[in-house]
Amino acid sequence: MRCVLPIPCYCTVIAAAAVFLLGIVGNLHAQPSGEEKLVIVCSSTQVADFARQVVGDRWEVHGILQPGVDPHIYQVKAADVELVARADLCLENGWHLEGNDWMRKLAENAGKPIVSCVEGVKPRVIEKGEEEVHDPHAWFSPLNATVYVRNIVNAVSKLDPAHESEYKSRANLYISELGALHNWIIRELNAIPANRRVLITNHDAFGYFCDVYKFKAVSPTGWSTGQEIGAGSTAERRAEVVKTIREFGVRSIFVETSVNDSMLTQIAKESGVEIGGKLYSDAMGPQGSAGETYIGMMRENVLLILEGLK
Amino acid sequence: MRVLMAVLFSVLLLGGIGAYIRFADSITPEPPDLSEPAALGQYSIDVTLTFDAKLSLFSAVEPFSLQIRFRDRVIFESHATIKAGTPIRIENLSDVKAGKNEFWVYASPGDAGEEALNPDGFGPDASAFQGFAEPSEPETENENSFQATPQVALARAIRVRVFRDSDPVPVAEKTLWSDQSGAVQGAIDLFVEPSKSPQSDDKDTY
Repeated sequence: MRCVLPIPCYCTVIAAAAVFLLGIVGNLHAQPSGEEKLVIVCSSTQVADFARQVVGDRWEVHGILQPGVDPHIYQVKAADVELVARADLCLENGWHLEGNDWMRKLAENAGKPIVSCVEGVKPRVIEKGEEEVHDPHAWFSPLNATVYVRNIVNAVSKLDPAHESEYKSRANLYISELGALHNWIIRELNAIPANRRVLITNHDAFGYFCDVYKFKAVSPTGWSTGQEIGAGSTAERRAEVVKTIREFGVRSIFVETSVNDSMLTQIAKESGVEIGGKLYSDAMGPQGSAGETYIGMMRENVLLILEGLK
Repeated sequence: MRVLMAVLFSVLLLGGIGAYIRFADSITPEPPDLSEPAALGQYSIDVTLTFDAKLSLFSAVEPFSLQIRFRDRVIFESHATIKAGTPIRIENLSDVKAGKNEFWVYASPGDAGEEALNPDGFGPDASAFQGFAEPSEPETENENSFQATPQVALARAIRVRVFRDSDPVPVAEKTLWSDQSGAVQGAIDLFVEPSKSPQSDDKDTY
């Protein structure tokens, strides 16, 4: 059987098709277009955590250093160059934490803006030779961590002023959490008597922590595990560690998650002291660990120090 | 031909639905009128601290020692030290509306540092860091007598009062206590009934 439609029927069909197309096109236009996120590339795990606390999900935050990796002796990879090429903003710790300033060089070679998060921190001066060397491990004081956060807020607000109040709001919450952390640390460490407040670690990373919380810091390796001025291991430093252990009757010494622990393990054996555990130092912990955030890392360190020295 | 008809009617149906959705999305309802009438009278807020408020790096991105906010505006901010017991009074508050009004007050005791950490293990200002600690042993030989621990006696607080016109009795008042970070902060509500005398739903609460 052959079906023949009358002309008005064809018109109806054509009109219906037009309405259909209009409906589809209209709905396609109504869908929000995928918003391209700005990209931050950070050198260290700590800086990346601070950046995430400030920008939330509004930016993509990438860290070059993986958990447990030493920033002083890190060798740049091809993937890092690609990552930095995508960046709208690069963040480094600064003060040569990144050995040979590898993060700054990466950013400058790619023509990307870079901000040093330590800018504005009152430095611990390590060497006063021709060039003053500043201890770069400033994040170990939560007071300094607030300076990092402020620098990040300023940097992202310049690039994305429309969301400045949002960045400030997140930062305000995080800064108050840092305040709670600082007060908690003071309270917990009060349990350790003054004559036992000696913190012996692989390398001299805990200077700011020890200044704020009144510890004596000693380590067989200088401020860096690399070859910079005032860095590296020496026989004198090693001898000072052994002397300090005997003089203060130190019970526990601490290795670090991001540094080779063979020298400190040997010192512990020779001196008859315990290894109190692994402290998070230049790198935070892997995802899923207690040390995957800055606050978690500091908390776990304090609990370990407390257990070892109380 | 039946198949063609089925396809065409499906197209008609789907097109109609699509067009309807698009039309329905394009209609924006009239926004409700949320304007609040201004409250009658002149209002002022009075803040008194039991401790010296000091500038703190942990207060905010732009640090301060004391801040009072009202309706998304900072109506008072200080970066200087504010002495305990010195009342801070802000007169002629604008924007007080009939209905619920909320103030927010923050004061910092400063950043705990050297002075808070006594090398012998008990800082002179350890009260600020009590948190969820087990209560310390009471320093008394008489077990039957009640004696607050020094930590409780040193708790930090802010007394906030809101006044209307020259009435010496506050229309709203609240005492805010320190949190775990050592800072004192909180909100205080002032409820003003339209064309009537104001009432506080916060009086002596907390």
